[in-house]
Amino acid sequence: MVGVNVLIFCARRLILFFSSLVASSAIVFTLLRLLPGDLAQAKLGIQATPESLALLRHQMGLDRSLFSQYLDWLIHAIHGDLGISILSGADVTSEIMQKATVTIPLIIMASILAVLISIPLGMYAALRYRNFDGVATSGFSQLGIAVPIFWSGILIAATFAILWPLLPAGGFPESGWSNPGPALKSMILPVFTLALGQGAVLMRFARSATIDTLQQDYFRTARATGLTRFQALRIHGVRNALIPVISVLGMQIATLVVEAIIVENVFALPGIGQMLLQDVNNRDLLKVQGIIAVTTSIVFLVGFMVDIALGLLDPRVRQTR
Amino acid sequence: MKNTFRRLIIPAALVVGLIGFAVPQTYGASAAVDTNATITLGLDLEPTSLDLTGTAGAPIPQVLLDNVYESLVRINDKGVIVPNLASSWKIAPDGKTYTFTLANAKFHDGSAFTSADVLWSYNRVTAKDSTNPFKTQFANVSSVFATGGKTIIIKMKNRDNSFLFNLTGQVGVVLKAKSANLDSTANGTGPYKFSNWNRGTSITLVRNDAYRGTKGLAKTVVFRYISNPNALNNAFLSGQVDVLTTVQAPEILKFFVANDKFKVVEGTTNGEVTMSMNNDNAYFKNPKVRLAVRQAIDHKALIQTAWSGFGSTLGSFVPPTDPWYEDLTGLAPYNVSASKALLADAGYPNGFKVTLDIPPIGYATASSEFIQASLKKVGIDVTINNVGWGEWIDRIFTKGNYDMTIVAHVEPHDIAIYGNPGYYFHYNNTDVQGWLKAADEAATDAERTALLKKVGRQLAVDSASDWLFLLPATQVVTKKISGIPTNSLGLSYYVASIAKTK
Repeated sequence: MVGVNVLIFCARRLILFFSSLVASSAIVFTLLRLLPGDLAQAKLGIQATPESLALLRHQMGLDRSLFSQYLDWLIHAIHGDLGISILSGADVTSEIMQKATVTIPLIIMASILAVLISIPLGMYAALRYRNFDGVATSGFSQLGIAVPIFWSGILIAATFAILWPLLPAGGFPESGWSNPGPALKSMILPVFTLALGQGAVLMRFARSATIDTLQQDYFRTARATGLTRFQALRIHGVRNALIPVISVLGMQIATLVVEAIIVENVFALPGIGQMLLQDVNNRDLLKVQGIIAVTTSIVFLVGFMVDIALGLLDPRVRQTR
Repeated sequence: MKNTFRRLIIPAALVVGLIGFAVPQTYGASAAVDTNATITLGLDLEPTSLDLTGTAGAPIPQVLLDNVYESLVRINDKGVIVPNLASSWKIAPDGKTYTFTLANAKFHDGSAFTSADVLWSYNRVTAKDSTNPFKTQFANVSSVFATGGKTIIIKMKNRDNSFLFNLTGQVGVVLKAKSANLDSTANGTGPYKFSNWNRGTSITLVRNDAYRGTKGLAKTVVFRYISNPNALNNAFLSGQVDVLTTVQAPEILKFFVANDKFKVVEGTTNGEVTMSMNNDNAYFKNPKVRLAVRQAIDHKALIQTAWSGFGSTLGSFVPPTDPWYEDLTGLAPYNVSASKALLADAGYPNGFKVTLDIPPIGYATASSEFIQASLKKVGIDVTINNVGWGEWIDRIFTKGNYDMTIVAHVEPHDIAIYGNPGYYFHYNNTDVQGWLKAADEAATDAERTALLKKVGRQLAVDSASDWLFLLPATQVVTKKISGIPTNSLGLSYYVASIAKTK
């Protein structure tokens, strides 16, 4: 009964997904409170008297037990309410939603671009791995992995925005996506920067997975039936070669979120990453907690979807849980 | 770099923005001023809230004070306290009664400014449940009351010579009575109205055409916040920003100086980059050891190395713009052999080991290795320890548990911190404490200045700390811009005099 197997598999993944979410939020909540410096001090600065600090802590409920603070947060979070930032008075959920209109398109576009570049190039490098062009292609991907993204971002901005002022050096139009032309224009360099690093990593995996496939018995058999290497790869190899690439893509989402923080910073994009960086600096703990909860959910969600996709792609995965 | 120190978001008291102590300059202002212009200022640190009565942090008064919100008095271009929402005032001979006559003014929402607004605002500071970060500046206030609609009387418990000066800051700001939602809106009386806040990007102010005094020159002023120094420079170079109000990496200034499209504007600040030596520490409790440390450092070379030669040397904790300044650099000249002799005399001919805690801010990191190398020459083995601001506030500032650290103290008139033995310097000199108290209660300005001068000199004699250099205020503007506040001596970045030519 394949259908039941798939259902059990999905249910297991779902339970794992939700329990990871709760566990990670509890860990983040505790870790953030272990950091030196508290919210009241962050808000009132160092001139504040101990009495004012105590008063504010009481008003904000920071004098309650850590567990009851967490439980309170969790119950609200489950209802989609991540609270009000004590520092800025802003509604955390709506701020994240607003910043997500920059970050989510950035990550999605960069992932698509990375896949579009890396998979054909990786397969090409694999097919030609004993030739000069194949080696050169894979050499470039090494370079892409080795160059830190903040540096490539600075170079890209300096080249395409300052030296040849073709595109904006940074920022995002205040009107947002309601004016898609300028919004898209301001996304080009950041998307390219983010895709470059990601594409390089994915290409390495696409290449090695393809080389693996090329050495399989079934591939040899396919060749023996008269197919060219390219035809055999297209018909029998791609699906097999994609399995490790998809699992890497899933894992890379976490890296993408982290790299988005850097790219947003380099290009002054008002997204979630930029906001997180500022909030960490400002010790806006509640907001940091909310942002991390949302980003970890996204990472877990993608991991969950990758698991399911792999399960559908490869029956062996379903059986081994 | 006026903003280098503003990187200190949390230690707000150490950190101040910039003000129009500056005389608006006339560079490049020959062509016609565009009164419909939009001027975009590039800054690095965004406010966390718009509530300058409930949240500390220099970026808030930087954009709002004197531009949107006003106090009864303000500091003018020359550092003099002048009328603002109070058209005049009288101080009783005993210094215990202030009588303010209020000006005719209107809030941005159109309502009239009255004594009820002052009462509400000031009583809110002193209220029992008030968490105003600057509440202590009103500690000497015993009562505030109004007589008629146009007079405010403030009674003091003791004479307090800092009070009028303090009123020019956040604590003196007059809000519309019963104002709410201060975090996200601002209804003030100033030359510019708050228009909108695009969080993470910018705050926009528009000219208040109904302003009672000299109106702003530009129609719209945008405070654009970009935390990454490279991105900020790029925004300026690509024309998205008209004024680079902060230069985080002084080495890039050479590029701007060489380019005739731009103008580098140099000013001064109150930011004493202070290397504190914990006076409770086994070694540093001996003033000879502290002097030895100061004499081991070539401060001029330090400024060249750490800050590309911008900034000036300091002999004590007094910036040259304060009336009680005197050049005291001669009391601890660079002299390695004198330093070694002092250490030997203090019983450490072979030096000792200490840790230098470095917060994450440009001037501190840039200075740390130079100091490590300088002190090594006299036998002091310095370990550099990088700390985050949270830890700095908690362990060093609050608990005073450290050997040495570097931070810029940029509050105006902040010399009194050396009068508090509990402050993280742990400097304890009863003469200094007495003079500071006497200065606060002195009957005349001359008397006060003389006393504070004595304090400044004593700090240098005792080597209470080492003062590495005075942070410069360096800005870069396009040639179309004139009238930016040059110096950074107060809390506000005053925009009403900034103009853009057509």
